Amino acid sequence: MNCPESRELLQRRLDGEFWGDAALEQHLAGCPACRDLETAGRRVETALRTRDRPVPPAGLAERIVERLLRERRARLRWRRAAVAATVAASFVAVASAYQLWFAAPRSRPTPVPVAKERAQPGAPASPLAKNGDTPAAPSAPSLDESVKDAGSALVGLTRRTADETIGQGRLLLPDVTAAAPRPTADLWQRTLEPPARSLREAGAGVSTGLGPVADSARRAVHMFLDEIPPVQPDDRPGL
Amino acid sequence: MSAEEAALVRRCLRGDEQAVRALVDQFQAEVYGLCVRLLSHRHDAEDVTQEVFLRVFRSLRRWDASRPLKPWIMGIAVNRCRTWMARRSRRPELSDYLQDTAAAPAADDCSELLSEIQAALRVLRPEYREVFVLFHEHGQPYDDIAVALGRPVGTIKTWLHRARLEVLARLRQRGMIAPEPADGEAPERGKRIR
Repeated sequence: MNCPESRELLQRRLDGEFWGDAALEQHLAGCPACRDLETAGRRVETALRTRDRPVPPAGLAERIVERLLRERRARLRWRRAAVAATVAASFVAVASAYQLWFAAPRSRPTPVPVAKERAQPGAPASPLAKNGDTPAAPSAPSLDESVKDAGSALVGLTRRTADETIGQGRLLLPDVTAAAPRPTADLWQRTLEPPARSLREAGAGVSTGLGPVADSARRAVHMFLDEIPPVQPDDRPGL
Repeated sequence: MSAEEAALVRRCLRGDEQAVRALVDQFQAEVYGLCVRLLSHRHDAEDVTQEVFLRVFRSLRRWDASRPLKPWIMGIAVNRCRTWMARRSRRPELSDYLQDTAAAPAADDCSELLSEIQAALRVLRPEYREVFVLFHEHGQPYDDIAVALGRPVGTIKTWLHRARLEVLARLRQRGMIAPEPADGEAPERGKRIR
């Protein structure tokens, strides 16, 4: 056995993994350096084994436990606050979503003619359109606006119907010089106003708007009948 | 790992105050002793011991119940001591540092030898010192030291052997271990040194 092998075994013996053998003892007996090393190692090991362990100061455990419990309580408070904040935030989010979903107007089909009427050249453009950006999609009209638009369309239709009726009467009766006074648009508008707030009111508005149409037609028929001379049996043309 | 340790940890995790006290009582001497040896300063060791247990309880849920508790706690203690020493090295050294545990006058040869051993440990590389203290003063087996330091067992053995040789060299320099006479007492065969 040489010195490196001997020192390796001495280390293992200090590690508690080797108990010694005759070859090592024989080498130690003949090698003062390895023997000195073995003796010094045993002295150090013995001194360390008999060394007093440091004793924790009095009250250290109490201070540690107190600090641990204090930190635990603080952590629990923080956790509760975090949970409360999370619950509150969730409630606000749910309430906001509920309000947005149920309170906002639902998407409804936009009446195309009304939209076209609104897109008149004189109408003020939206800020986006002024800036050259993509114009925003037209928002769905409210119920009041829809009723107003329906009234306006009805007025125009009635006016056209009355004009056509009077025109046909004039063709049939060229001598008639004075036609019955036509109802003005203000009259129609007044009749239609105020705008209805509900569908039921919208229906009533439509009925009110149709009244002048019927009156106008009735007057035109009466004028036509008044201007017709009484028919004699001899005057019957070609009959 | 014992079933008692696992049960104790479960009670601690449930917030049982008595279990917390029991766990601190069970390991505070080991942790404090290790901190004193590694830091060579009792006041620092006290502060670090408190930090160690705070870390232990913060990380208790991550403890692997299939492994023993002590090496895990000692590993945390070693890490906290390293952090503390790194922090201490960046600030001005106080006058009582490095003299706290070796200040007591040597009452006999053994005390003087221990003082020299402590002085030799202070100049060792930190990992050598950790392995030496854990093995020789705390009686930790290689496997537990490997767990505590997160190194293979072979590395731990190598570090321990080098630490011993360096300590012996220092003691020889200081004249603490004179060569034994050639006809000195031979070691008893079959006797376990540890």
